Amino acid sequence: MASVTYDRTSCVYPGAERPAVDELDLQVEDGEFLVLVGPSGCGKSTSLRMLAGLEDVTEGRILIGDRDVTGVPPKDRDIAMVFQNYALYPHMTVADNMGFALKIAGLNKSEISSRVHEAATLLDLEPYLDRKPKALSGGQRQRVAMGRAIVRQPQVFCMDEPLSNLDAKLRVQTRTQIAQLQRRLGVTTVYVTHDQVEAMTMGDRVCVLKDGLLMQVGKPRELYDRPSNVFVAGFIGSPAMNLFTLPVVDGGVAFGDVVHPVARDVLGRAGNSSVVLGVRPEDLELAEHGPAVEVDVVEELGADAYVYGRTKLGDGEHQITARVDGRRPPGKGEVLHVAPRAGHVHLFDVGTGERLGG
Amino acid sequence: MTTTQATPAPLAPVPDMLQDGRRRRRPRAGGHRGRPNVLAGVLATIWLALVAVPLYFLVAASFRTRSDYLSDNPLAPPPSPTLENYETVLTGDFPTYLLNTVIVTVVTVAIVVGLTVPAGYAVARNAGRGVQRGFSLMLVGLAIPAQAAIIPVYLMITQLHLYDTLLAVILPTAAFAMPVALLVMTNSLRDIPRELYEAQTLDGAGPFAALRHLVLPLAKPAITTVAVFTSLTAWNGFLFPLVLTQSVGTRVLTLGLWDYQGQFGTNVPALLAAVTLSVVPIFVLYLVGRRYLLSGLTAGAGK
Amino acid sequence: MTITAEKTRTRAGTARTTVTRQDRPSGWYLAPALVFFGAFAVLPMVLVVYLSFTSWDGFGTPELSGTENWTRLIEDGRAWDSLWLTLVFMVLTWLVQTPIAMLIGVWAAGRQRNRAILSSLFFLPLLLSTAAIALLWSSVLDPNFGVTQSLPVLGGFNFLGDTELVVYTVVWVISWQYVPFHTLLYQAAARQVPESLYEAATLDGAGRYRQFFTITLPLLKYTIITSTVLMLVGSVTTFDTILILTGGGPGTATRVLPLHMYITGFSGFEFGYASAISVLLLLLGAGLSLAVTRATGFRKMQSQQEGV
Repeated sequence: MASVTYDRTSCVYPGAERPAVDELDLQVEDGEFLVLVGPSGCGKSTSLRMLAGLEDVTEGRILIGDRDVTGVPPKDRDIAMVFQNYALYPHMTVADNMGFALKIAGLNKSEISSRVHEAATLLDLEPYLDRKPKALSGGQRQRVAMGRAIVRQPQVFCMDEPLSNLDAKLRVQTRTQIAQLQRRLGVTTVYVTHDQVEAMTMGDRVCVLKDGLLMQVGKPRELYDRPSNVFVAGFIGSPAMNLFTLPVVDGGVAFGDVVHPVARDVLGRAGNSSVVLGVRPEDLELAEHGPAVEVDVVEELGADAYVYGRTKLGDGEHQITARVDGRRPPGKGEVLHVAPRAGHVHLFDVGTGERLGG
Repeated sequence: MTTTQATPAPLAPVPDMLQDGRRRRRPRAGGHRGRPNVLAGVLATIWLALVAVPLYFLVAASFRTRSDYLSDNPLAPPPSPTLENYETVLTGDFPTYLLNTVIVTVVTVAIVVGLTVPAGYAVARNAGRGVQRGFSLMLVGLAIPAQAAIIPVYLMITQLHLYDTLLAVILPTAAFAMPVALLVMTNSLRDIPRELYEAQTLDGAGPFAALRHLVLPLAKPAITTVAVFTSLTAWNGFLFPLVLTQSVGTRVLTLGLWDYQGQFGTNVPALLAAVTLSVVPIFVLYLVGRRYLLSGLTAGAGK
Repeated sequence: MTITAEKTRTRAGTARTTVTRQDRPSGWYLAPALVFFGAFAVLPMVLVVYLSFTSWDGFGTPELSGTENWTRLIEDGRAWDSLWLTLVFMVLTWLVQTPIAMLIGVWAAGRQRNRAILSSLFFLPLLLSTAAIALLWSSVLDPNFGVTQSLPVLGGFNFLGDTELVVYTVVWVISWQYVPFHTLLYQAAARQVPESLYEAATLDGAGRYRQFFTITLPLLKYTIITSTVLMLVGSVTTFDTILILTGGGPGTATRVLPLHMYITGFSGFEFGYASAISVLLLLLGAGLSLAVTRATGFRKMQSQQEGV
């Protein structure tokens, strides 16, 4: 087992204008499950592939444990990878797929066989060992891909969106299985996904990337409660946080016809006469005062309902989402008044997008 | 290329509808379902007659005696079928010609497949300038007519003291079959998903191990196509044997047939028996693997 | 801004020099094929140009003779006749083969059972070597003992002996040999046309012939180009059919350029001069395929497919 360290690691593709990954500094603890998340093109896959040795590190270093693996060929890094499309060898049986790396490494047949069976038992793949990948269901293929990584008993698992080829229901099930398996095996895991729900539910810590830059890294709760910038605030959470650019007034921020009180020192940090105020849908309450919201759509989820509407705030009309009691949802076309719950707003600088406080 | 034709599978098919859908999809006559296309049908029938009659004549005449051939209606079945023409051919040099052709074909295929599998692998996986330039150079070879090369090839072969050997035929035949073979091979190996190559790398397989464990097994269809294409080229080759061989001992089938024209003179049935015999191996191949044969034939036309 | 751009550029620079750690096959995997091809296909092309400036009887050593062969070629009426004849063959075979191959190919693309059986018969000529086909037809058309002599109407013609008629005879035999191949191309292409397009056209009220001209034909564009390139280049190099069928005769009625080259070299032992004709042939063949592919943007399509 080992930790993984990105030490100011950059990757620039030849001919590209900006780096795919820009001076990434990141430490993954031994046995930790770290999720890299971000929109497509944010550099999450490149970061993972640099760790696997499939992509060249242009600047900086990558360490596994104390060992600098920047120049080490993939096979000598003691890592295993699960690919998005699984990359199972179509001409080999499940057992051969899982045992291939061991065969190349020169292990003897009985050793390979016992390790393959061990992994197969763990993943309920025993009955399928003699089948070819094309005779398996999507979920089974996914497990074979996992099994292929497990049999190698590596120091680090690299997983590149391993669930995105599964249907929605199976994805939720497998999500839990992978998380449990990882905790059981205790192998350091770097997991890439574009799905923030997957990131939040699976990771010990989550690392949000955008345009090759690290936005924030922390426990899921930290990211949710204290997003360190506008991007993370908008990216994490579903439905997404409401973000409005609002003028600063004496004692707080003008939220429609009411003033949302904000501490003076927080406002003092703002480099502008307005700030970005963020409030999650569940932190909006129906109120007597506050901006008027015209309801467009109501999503009833049973216990809760989400109201999607429009409101005039600050510089113009905005979309706004609020969570309301599922038993008494408002009707379409109704006009509501909402106000943020005290102490549950996030304030960001208009220019830099950095968190000011909340 | 490969994903465009995917037919969407209904998630919860109502059995009757699926049946119906299948029934409707099958008879797809370039869109003219059901209704017969008279013009094309008539043309196809005429063409069929133009193809079938000469071939029928060929086989029928090979079973005629020499005198019958001169007196009979050539399109009537042979009144007294005889195998004597086949006997004449098979007791002569025909077996030698056949053996020579087989040797030329097998060795040519071995060279072409043996060289284009690793070459195609390099082109598909190595974006380096040198490799890609080499590939482009070989693609230019697609436009070179072999006829333009016979004089210098003749010079080279005589200088190498290979004149009138089977190797003299094999070397240029293989070289000129190589561009098409490489193109087919490369296209096929590029269709292997990148992740499979990467998985090999992570599994610790170097380029040679990947060639053995991944490329070779997955290139089987392409290898078949290349082998069939090259076999046909070598089997039917005429120009290089004509220019580079001389004696009976190195004569291949196509040249042998031509030689029969002079040798048998007016014994046309014997000549036609030899022609028929020369088609038999390819015909068997056609019966065994029609799909492979046709894919090999059109290999030159690219994907 | 400028500073960031500068920084990026240096980074991109280092990226190029970094050794790729992925185990990719080295250029050595291509080398044997390349060397082989170079030795027996590219080197001859270089040599033939050299030989066209020499005088060589095929036995001794070629001796440089300056531009003698080339001036002779320019003044050689027979060579120009051969070139003209080659172009005539090119046009005629294209005109005969293309409509037949296209119509039958589209027809055979239908998945009806009778069409499948018939089309497997269509392809039979593909199994015969050029030599076999030429010998078959020379037996069929022989002015003394040929089949046609005992048939009504056809018996009145001397297919191989008449200097006018023989050109069409050769065009016919070549077409008989190659139509199946081009049919195969069109059949495969017509099968690629999505059925939904025809369904949409039917709903739009387009009849069969309109469907053929507005859907099938445009979608067959690249096949038409491919087939045309192969036909044109093929007819430039048609050699064995004519050699066996007519030997270039009667007289020089069917002596096309490659045959003229062959006869000049291997019968007349004027290899230097024959090399000059070869170069002409080379330029014609390579030039044609380049011109057609350029003119139609075919290369572009191919190179897109080749993208790594």
